Amino acid sequence: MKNRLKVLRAERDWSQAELAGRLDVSRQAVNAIETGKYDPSLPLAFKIGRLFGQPIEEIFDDEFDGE
Amino acid sequence: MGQGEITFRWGYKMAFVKMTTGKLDIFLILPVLASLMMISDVPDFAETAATLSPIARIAILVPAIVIIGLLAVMGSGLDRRCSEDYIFQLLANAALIGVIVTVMVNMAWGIAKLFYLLPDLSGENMTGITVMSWCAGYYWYRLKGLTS
Repeated sequence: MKNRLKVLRAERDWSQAELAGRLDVSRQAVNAIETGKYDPSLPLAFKIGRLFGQPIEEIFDDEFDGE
Repeated sequence: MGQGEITFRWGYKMAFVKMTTGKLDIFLILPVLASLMMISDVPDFAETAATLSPIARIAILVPAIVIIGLLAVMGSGLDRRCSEDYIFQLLANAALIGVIVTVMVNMAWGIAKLFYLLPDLSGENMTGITVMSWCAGYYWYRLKGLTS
């Protein structure tokens, strides 16, 4: 699953550790999400959405084109 | 992220230090070393004191599986609350690898025994295989990602 987490984080000039602190997860978890190695759980995805003030589908793309 | 607190159903609170992947990467070297010792264990089946009938085996093992299984469910729930989702997913996926590898190795060993004079695998050997494949699964998912 692709995501815009790295872009959103860079826009706010946050480090991975800073974002991890705001989300109450480890820096490794943030890194794994950004590099596409881990798809976050629904509660964590909602938390990310709330933190950036955007709906989940604006941050995460399931690459499903609906066809 | 370093510390947390969980409240049990009956109001009891417990503080804990949250497990991180950084700590787990190092910590899991210990079970890998232990599994090496378990796999290399040469059992002395001659020491077996008694034989059990199939009924007796069922009577002992099924309740044991149910009771220990329930305890494992409770422990797993506690584990989920004490660790972040990423770690829990890493360990859960790695555990699946551990179970599959154990079953497949046992099956392959059983087939090989039909053709070669191989000894039986002991419980110690099997536990070692499970632990080692679980740890290997963890490190695999850490390197390649949970979506691999």
